[in-house]
Amino acid sequence: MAVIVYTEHEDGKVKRSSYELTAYASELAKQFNAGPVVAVTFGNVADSELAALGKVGAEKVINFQGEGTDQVDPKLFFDNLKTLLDDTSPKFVVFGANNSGRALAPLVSAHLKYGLVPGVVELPREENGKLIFKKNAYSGKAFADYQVNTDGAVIMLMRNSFDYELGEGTAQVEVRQISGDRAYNIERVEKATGKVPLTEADVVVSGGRGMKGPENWHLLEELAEELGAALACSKPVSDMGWRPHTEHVGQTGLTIRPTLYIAVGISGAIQHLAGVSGSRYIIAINKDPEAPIFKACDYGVVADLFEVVPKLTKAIREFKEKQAGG
Amino acid sequence: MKILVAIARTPDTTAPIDFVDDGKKYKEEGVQFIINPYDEFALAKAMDLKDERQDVEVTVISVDSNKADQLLRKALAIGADKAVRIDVEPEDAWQAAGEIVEWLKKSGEQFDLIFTGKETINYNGGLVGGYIASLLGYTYIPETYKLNITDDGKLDIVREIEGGRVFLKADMPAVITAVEYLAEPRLPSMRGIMQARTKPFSVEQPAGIEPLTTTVKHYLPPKRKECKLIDPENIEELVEILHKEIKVI
Ligand SMILES: Cc1cc2nc3c(=O)[nH]c(=O)nc-3n(C[C@H](O)[C@H](O)[C@H](O)COP(=O)(O)OP(=O)(O)OC[C@H]3O[C@@H](n4cnc5c(N)ncnc54)[C@H](O)[C@@H]3O)c2cc1C
Repeated sequence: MAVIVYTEHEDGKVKRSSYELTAYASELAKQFNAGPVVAVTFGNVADSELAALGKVGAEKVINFQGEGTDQVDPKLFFDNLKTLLDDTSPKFVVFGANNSGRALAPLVSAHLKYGLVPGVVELPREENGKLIFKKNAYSGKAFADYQVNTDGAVIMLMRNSFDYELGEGTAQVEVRQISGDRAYNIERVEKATGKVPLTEADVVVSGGRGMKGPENWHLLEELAEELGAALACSKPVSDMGWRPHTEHVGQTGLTIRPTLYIAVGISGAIQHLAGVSGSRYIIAINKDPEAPIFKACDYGVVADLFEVVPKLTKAIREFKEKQAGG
Repeated sequence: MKILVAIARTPDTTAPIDFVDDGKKYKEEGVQFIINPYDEFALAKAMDLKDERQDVEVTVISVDSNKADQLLRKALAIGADKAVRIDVEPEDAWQAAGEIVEWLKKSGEQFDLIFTGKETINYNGGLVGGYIASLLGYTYIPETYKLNITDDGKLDIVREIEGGRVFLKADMPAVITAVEYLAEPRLPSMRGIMQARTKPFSVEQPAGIEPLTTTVKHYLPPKRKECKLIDPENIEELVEILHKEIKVI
């Protein structure tokens, strides 16, 4: 028995979402008496970083290292996970609802013949001996309760779904060498480093067609900088090539659930809202008081963004300086 | 070269979301159904490959009741060569993928490329491709943004990952899931619509794969409380809210 949780790191640090996943796994282990929580991670990262997952209940961290571990390869990663699954017969295997989850979780589910629930947003409940998970459905426009018909379950948890606190504890770290064949040969990777990834971010500043052009994005970059936020955009903005497609949120882009989503010059079309409606708070800046975004936000500013965004950035900076000073 | 494109039926992106049968089922009355947008990108890519090369045959498949017939016909009108429908509304991705794989085994059909969308916009799973790859032992390449076939028959692919892209080469047979921009979705032409009428369309009995999960009920998210408007002349109020209530500064 065990609960296996798939964790990730970036720029030498375990991702915050991985802490959330591990904390969730620990709560599952406790609730269902499902044995120790074993975290798995691929690629080089300091033992001390991994051991800190003990603060959210991991007993052990297995770190696969070696050539090919720095980018997800569904075949290579799964073949190595498989040994671990067969050795521990976990009741639960927990992934994030992200790229790596989508690449690996279905393979794990097919291997274990466990039901897989993608986009889980809560701990499960038990009804008539069956596990029931609440999940995101209709691209954020609804939720669904899924019953798992098997003894164990594979879960893909949405970011920002589970509140946790850091406790005490140090996980035991075991390094293993990766072995096996790859699904494909990676020739190169293009990736922004040193920035908050959109799906990890607590605060997201997002721009729409109202921004008028890519040359104005510095306004949002400056606001994001003050808030430690990641940048996002609406679909037309990425269609026109103003911003990269990886920043596009909504029905055909990413679904995100940050603590705060700031929509600037975005009308709030239903397909856009689908990807962001899980945000805890939404603030909208738009000059049109009739824009549908004002039906879907917590706070709104009806104004010209070119005036109000720099003003807001400045006000935040001054507030932070005052805090730091006194 | 043979290509299979698995397509799902989803409500139109602007369709109202409501449920019947105590939340178990989506309320279909009056709703326009479409080919899942991600599957449209996949189908369009298959069509691009067909235009580029002489030897491509494209089959579309859907595991669904006859409600999917008009969408499969549309795919034929767009240019697919054959359509197959497995006559069951699947309860989950495992059942859908399992039925497709059972049909492949039974029919003896073999495909070099199997496309699905990254996910459906109603189920939001993204599992069918992974399941098919796993059951067939094919290379699995999720979230593909660009695809070309090189002269020596390799797949030249760009995958999307969080905040970046991975450039890779892979062998066929492979299962590819499509993200937006893989190809420009196509509309059926008048000629295509005429031709679709005579193209092979077969309806198959399901093999009886059991789902691993069952939908118990759906519900709508709680409504946000009414939006509070902040006076742009008093933006400090918003800064207070960011600090005191939302606690991000
Ligand atoms: C199948 C399908 C899938 C889709 N998927 C997505 C998706 O994933 N994501 C997505 O975003 N969209 C998606 N869409 C598109 C969606 O329907 C909208 O067209 C899109 O979201 C609109 O983007 P926007 O808000 O940036 O632009 P617009 O609707 O043009 O809104 C611009 C807004 O900026 C405001 N504005 C203009 N100037 C200023 C100014 N100076 N100051 C302040 N405000 C200003 C305007 O009042 C307006 O409200 C999809 C559509 C379809 C059909």
